[in-house]
Amino acid sequence: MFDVVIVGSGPGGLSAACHAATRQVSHLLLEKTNHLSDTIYKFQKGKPVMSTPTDLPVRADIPFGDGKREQVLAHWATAAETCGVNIQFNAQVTGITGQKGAFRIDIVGGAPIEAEHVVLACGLQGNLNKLRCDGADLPLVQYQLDDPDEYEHEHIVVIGGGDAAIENAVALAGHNTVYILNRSDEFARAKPPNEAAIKSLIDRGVIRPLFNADTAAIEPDAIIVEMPSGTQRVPCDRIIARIGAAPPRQFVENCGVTFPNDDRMALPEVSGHYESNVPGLYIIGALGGYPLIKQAVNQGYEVIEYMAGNTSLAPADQDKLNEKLSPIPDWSVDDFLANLRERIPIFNEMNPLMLRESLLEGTVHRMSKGDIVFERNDYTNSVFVIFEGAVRVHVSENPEEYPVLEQGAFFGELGLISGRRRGATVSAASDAILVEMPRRTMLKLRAAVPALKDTMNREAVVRQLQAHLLPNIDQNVVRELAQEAQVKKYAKGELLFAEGDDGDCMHLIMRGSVAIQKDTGGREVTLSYLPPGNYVGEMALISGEPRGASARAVVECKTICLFKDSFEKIVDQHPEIRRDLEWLYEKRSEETVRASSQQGQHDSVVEFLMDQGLGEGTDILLIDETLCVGCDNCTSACASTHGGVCHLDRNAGPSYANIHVPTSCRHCEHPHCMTECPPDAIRRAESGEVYIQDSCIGCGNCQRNCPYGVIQMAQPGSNDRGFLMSLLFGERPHVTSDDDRKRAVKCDMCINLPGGPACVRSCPTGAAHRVSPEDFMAIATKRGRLA
Amino acid sequence: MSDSDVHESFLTVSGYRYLKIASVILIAATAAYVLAPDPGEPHGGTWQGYGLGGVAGAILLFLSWFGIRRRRYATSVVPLRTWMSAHVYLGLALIPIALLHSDGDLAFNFHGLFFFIVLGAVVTGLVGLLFYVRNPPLIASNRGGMQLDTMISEISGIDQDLRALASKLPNEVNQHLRTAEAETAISTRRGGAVNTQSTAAARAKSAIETLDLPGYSPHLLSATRKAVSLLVRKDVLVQRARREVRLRTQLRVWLFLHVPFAVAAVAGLAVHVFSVFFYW
Repeated sequence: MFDVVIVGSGPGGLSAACHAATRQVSHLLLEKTNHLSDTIYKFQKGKPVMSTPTDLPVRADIPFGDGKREQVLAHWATAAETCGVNIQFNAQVTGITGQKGAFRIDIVGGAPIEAEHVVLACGLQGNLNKLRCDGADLPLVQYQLDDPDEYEHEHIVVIGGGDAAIENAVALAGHNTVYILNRSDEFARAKPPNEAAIKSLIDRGVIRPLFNADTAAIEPDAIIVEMPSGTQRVPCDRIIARIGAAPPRQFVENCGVTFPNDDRMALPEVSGHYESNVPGLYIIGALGGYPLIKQAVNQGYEVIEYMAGNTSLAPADQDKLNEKLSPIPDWSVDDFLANLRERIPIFNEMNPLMLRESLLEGTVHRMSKGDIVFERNDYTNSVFVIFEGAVRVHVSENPEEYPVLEQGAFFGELGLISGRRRGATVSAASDAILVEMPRRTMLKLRAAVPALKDTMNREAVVRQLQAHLLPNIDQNVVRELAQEAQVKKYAKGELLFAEGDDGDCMHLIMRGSVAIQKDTGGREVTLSYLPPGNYVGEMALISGEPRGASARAVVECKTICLFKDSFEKIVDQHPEIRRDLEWLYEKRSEETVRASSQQGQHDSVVEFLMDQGLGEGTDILLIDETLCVGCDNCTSACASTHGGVCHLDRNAGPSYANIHVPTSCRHCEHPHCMTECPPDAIRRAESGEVYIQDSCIGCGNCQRNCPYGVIQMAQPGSNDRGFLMSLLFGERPHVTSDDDRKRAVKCDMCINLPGGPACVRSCPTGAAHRVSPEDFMAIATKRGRLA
Repeated sequence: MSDSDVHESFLTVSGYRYLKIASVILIAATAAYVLAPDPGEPHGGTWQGYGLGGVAGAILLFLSWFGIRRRRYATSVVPLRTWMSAHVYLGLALIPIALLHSDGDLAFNFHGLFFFIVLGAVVTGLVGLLFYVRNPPLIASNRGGMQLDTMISEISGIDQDLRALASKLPNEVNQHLRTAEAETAISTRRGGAVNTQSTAAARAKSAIETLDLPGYSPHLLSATRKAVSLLVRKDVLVQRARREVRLRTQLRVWLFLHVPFAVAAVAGLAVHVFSVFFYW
């Protein structure tokens, strides 16, 4: 009888076994295969392994840091040996029965093992989704790819549309004929750089797509594919199916562990000490909801401590958390976390461990009455929750009317949704304790906790409707209306509705921008451009006339859609809504008439600027061609203030109506570059600048993700010539850094210079100018008249 | 936002503030000159002489500081266009003030030379100003949204098309096309004299039109028409590209005189002041 049997030798299981060995706890580590850490073992050869979250210290008997697959595996094998871990390979567990102190573990082809405690650390990858068609068991089918260089001159079909499938297909495409079989005709699930890579390879004819396809059957030398165009037989030497993994639910349930819901991807619930509902049975790592290697490694150590009765062991992040709580010394970490979960409704559904981890990334603020939390027009994009006290939102003229948000409420979420500046100043209405969560953490939580996302989205809808559409209507009525509303998403260029359609709903724009277009004499004319906070199609709710113009998403958009039927129902009870809306409508149509009398070329200038990214930019460099003498002082200034590397190409880029849009960062509302930055090095400053920190690892994802081509990979340097030499021979960039690694560089709007962007300051003729979306309608109007 | 805030030209900075300042200085200098009692013979020893000389010298130093200031990208908060505005208007005021300072007396000595050096800097600057104001709109309208390298690559594309087309056409047409193609080449070395170049396309066109076109088969006729229209398009592009190169060159070339004159003027100022105080 062992004190503990650990199932699975991945990061969590191995770490637990090492610690058990060090602590001299009698233990047995069961591994299904004949080597350690099968999931990482199966990573593609040379794949980099990252040690995130960076804030979390490692506390275990096995080492872990950034490195390649091979290094990580070698370190772990050494650690297992040094600690003297008792491992049984080729031991596939078929069932666990019994209770604390007397578990019985059945394995394939061996006598049952007895243990007092069991740690389940088997992860998800042991339960890969398999093909279920005739011939799925033929030897040409495999579910992983160890070394892409192993295969040459083969015909290979990769099945799947996710990251693993794409990475495999791309890696194989160099030496083989590769097909990718995908159920749809796009790769929406994949990370953007992967999506871009596969699309470009497909466009160039390197990888052959089988879109909207299903596997019908597999033959010893071919795959039979069902496609809309009919059944097709694709001869091939190898089939690699990367179609995901799921928790081994059947197995876990048979052990007596319960799941919170019926979702196929649902994970079992565990206590703060990783104990499941079966006493003595612990679950750690990905199966317990922690997909990151570092978390699993720490949990392996901790679970052995807890089991040995050291329940007072503070988790590895305790010191960090104590530091976070330093503004409120009278709260202990555990009390604070328990109260946070209880007091804040959006956190109610969160797993306590997840909340703990989120707090690690957040900031606790203690505010005195009257302190400003953030100012209107700040670019900060974190979300705040009120742990104690209350805040005021400065939305109206009269401070008496400021709405007050009480304990438990959250605010600042609009930055998350629309990406625009803060809409209103918020100040503490009483002494208050606030928790600030960074944008990335909130996005992660929204993705992981559906209830949190739903609550936040619902509340956002109410607040948007109230703020932009029905400021004078009682909040409960707005809430009722919001219940009936739907949030809709539109891709770039998609129509919200077309001119002449029957109007059945109106849209309030939450994110992106919408162009209103009208067909005049066979030509699409853009009447106006509407940023978030505006609404379109309101006539439908008032008069029921057909649409007078088309509305098209300029960039990816999200709108709150209010349907006529549900609207009517609520308006019948609250006629004041109709009155308000009619008044707003009259005001708006007056503005429309005024705008259209200034037409001319205005619309085409707007269109041009929209195409250049003004629809999603916050600050764009525009050059007036009638003033630019081409002296390139702007580019010299940029290079000179950025280590000899110019972030701007004055001459490149399109021109229209004498406005030239050089290749330079637009500082997008939702920066495309930020989406896939592994070290999270791209940040947005409070004043709006999107900049890249020194922690850049030079992976180039941002460069590929930027639709405007403004990011380059370069080595930092400087101009090594003095004034006279520069005057006579020009400036000479000189690489000064010893580090020869290239890093991503882009416009940071000279965030560290007191005078603002050097390009604009150094223009001798006033041709260079930076504009925000608010200014550019003025430019369009002026240019429209000139053009 | 008013229209002027969108893009503000260096000439109009802060509502012509530097034009006003320069005018005030000039008027004050003229007043000082007029009010001064005539010393009878020129010797420069009057307070007006020293005063006007001081002002002119200060302006000259301020103007030349621009060359250094232009390259201080990181340190200054004031935009360069403001400096440029002051540079232009004070520069225009410099020569009148210098003339008042010398009482119009320009002898054949170093001081006379110094004046002409300063005059050279101002005149070249004036030429530069002319180009700076005149050329950018001309370039913009000339290129019609097309960048120079696009023009050049389209020209070489047309050349290829023309050659391919011409080889299928009767000799009489082919001949005209080939001559015109060579004469409209963008490089002047191949293109021949200026007047041949500028009229080549038109001459080829009219020469081809005098041929017996109605006798051609419809297929040949349309190919000929296409060739002629390509030729005309090429001609337009070549003219445009040349014009752009000329306009862009003008924007730079004056600096090759202006900067040496300016450097010489600063050196001249040092010599002028030194000699006035020690040897006059």
